[in-house]
Amino acid sequence: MFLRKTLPLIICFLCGVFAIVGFFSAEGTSINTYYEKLAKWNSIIAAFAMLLGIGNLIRVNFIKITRNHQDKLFCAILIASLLITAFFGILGGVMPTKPVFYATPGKTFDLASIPIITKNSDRQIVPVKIDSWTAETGSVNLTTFTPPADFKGDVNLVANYTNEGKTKHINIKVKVHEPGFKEAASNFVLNKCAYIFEYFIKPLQSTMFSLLAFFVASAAFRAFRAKSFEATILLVTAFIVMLGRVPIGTSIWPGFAGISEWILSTVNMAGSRAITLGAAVGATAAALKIILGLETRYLGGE
Amino acid sequence: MLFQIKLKSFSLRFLVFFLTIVFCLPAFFPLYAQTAEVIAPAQTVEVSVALQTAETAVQEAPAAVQTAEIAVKEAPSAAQTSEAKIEISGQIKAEAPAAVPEAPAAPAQKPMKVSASKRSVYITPGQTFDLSAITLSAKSAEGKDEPVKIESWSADTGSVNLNVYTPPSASFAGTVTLLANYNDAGETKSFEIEMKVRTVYISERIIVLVIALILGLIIVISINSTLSGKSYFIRKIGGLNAIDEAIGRSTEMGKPVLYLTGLSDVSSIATIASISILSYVARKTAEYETSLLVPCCRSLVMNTAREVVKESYLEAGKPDAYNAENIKYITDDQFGFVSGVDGIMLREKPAANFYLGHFMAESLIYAETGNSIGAIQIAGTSEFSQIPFFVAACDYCLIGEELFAASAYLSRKPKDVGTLRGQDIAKLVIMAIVIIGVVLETVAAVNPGLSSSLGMYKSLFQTK
Repeated sequence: MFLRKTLPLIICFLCGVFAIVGFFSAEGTSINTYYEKLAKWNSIIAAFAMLLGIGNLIRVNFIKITRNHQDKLFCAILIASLLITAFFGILGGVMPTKPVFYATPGKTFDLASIPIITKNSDRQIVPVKIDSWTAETGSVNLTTFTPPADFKGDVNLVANYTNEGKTKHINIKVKVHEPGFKEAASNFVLNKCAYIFEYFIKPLQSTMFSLLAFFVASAAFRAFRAKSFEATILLVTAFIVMLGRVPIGTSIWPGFAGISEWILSTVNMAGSRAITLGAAVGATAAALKIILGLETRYLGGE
Repeated sequence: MLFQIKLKSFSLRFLVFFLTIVFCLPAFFPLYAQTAEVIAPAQTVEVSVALQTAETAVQEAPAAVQTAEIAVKEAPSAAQTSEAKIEISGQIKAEAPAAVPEAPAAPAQKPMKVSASKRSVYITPGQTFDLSAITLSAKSAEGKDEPVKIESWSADTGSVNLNVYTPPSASFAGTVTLLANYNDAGETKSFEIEMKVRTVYISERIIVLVIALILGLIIVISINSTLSGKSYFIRKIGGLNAIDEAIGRSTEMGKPVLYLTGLSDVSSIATIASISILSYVARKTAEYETSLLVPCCRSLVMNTAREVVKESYLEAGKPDAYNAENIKYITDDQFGFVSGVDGIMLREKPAANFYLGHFMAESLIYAETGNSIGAIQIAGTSEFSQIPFFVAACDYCLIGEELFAASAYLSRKPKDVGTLRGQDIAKLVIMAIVIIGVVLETVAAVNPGLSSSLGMYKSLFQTK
């Protein structure tokens, strides 16, 4: 009982009081410093809880697969997607990283594989014409670089180009050594998580979000049926606001824009502030109840 | 007929499998297209190089580094359909104009990279600051931190000597820039340190503390009042009255109840309020032996919800009916969670849906999907922008504070009712403050001479 109820309530009270005092403390005070640390602890705890969530997700879906559930294929896809994304995210990083160029000792490296582009004054990406290349070791011409046969290490290649009449240089590092598994593996995982996010998750998110357009139409159709006096007021108000927000409305009568703006900024705002104030007071009261230990249902039971 | 259904199911599975293969493989194929000599990412890459500015660089050395933006693009390859922005560090050297003869390059001497023990320091008004608390150090060639002697101190305001900084006045509050001057290869350089002179508390927030204390006091008095046996009227809230009806309907139809606590974590008050209502809903579903589904967007919420539902089932005397698998984590991603919940709705076809907590743009997607399966829907959120969607698409909607009042409404326990009464009194106080403000604003508009009174009144409630 002590561990399940009393101790969490004591921790909740102490953290709550500390957070309140921290909110009123100025920057640089020791209370404020620990208050900011407390917020970071929250993130750390959430990260551990994430493991619990992932464990649960895998367990629930794995059980469905083993029990030959009708949705076992989707469960398998979910687990596979989770593992693949985690694999590339953990090993290759979640953000796009610097490209690495590798050359083999004694063999030519095609400089065309790193053409250089820049943004012009119109912010358009344009290729940069390279006048010449220089290298601190090995031989280089306009198209290829050949490191010495017995060289291993990093070589700085310098691409020389002209910009606004001035010769400028770009340094590019090329790693010279025998190709090995490590580099191949490193390149295999590199950026794939960003790729998954950009080309799998983002389009899926956009798809779900775009459903809103259809749902708004169907919900509006049901909500705007003039079944009662209140529903008729809603319909008329919504019609005026819509006309005021679209070009055709102002083409019919320019006054729609003004009326629409007045409805939103005055009538709607008054209601909005009343609801917000009420919710804020409710949230404050709920927070006080939790801190003072009057609300314990979130711990389970009464 | 059975064969047709099996064929359809097989076709669908094959299609999903095929699409997975088609979409996944191109991501990895380019790697195999690389030559042995050059292993480079197969995407089009954009490279930004940000170093020093050209002007500074030219001043410091003939071949200095300047700011530029470059990009490195890969050669076309068969599988190149993607783009990824990539940043690498590189150098762009600037040459002096040909007409200006370059001076012979002096032996390159790197400037010391100095760091301070403190970059920002804080004092209260009227206090002096002991400058010995700040030390400078620089990395030696061996990589060790070596102390840098501070030759002198200067400040943009106040007085400073080698040991102590004194603000310009005892009441001074603000930010002061202190410069620690040191010698680097015969040249005097400065290291900037920010000093903030401020009180230990944020004075602009005192009004918040006062209001919170008043609110707390009102609530405590109200709770004491209800505990002493006084009863108070609570107006009917349609959405909360309908909870029993909705669960009863699910039981009659033999379908589950779906409960969502929203997007936020347990740190959100709306989520905690939702968990309190979940406790009541779980007890009812346990009594009626109806299945309760609680998909969660946050893993901490999942654990909390499990504990709460388990306790409710125990209280209802039906511990065996509790199924932990029904309270599951789906994903933290907003629209990933929406698609997961929509899938549950379409597969399980719950007869009652509860959306109580913090919701964002996904609110209407839930409500419309729930409506399409014919479920009775009870929603509630304190997020103002989502209330219209719930009002339009759900059968009942708890608006704003009703969500926080729900636990008191459902339990009718003295401490909860007392809190509710405290909230109402606090709202009355706020209403009075707003009405006084409106009157003052109107009077000041008619009689500008009173605008100073209005300004004083407004300043009371200004926070930072």
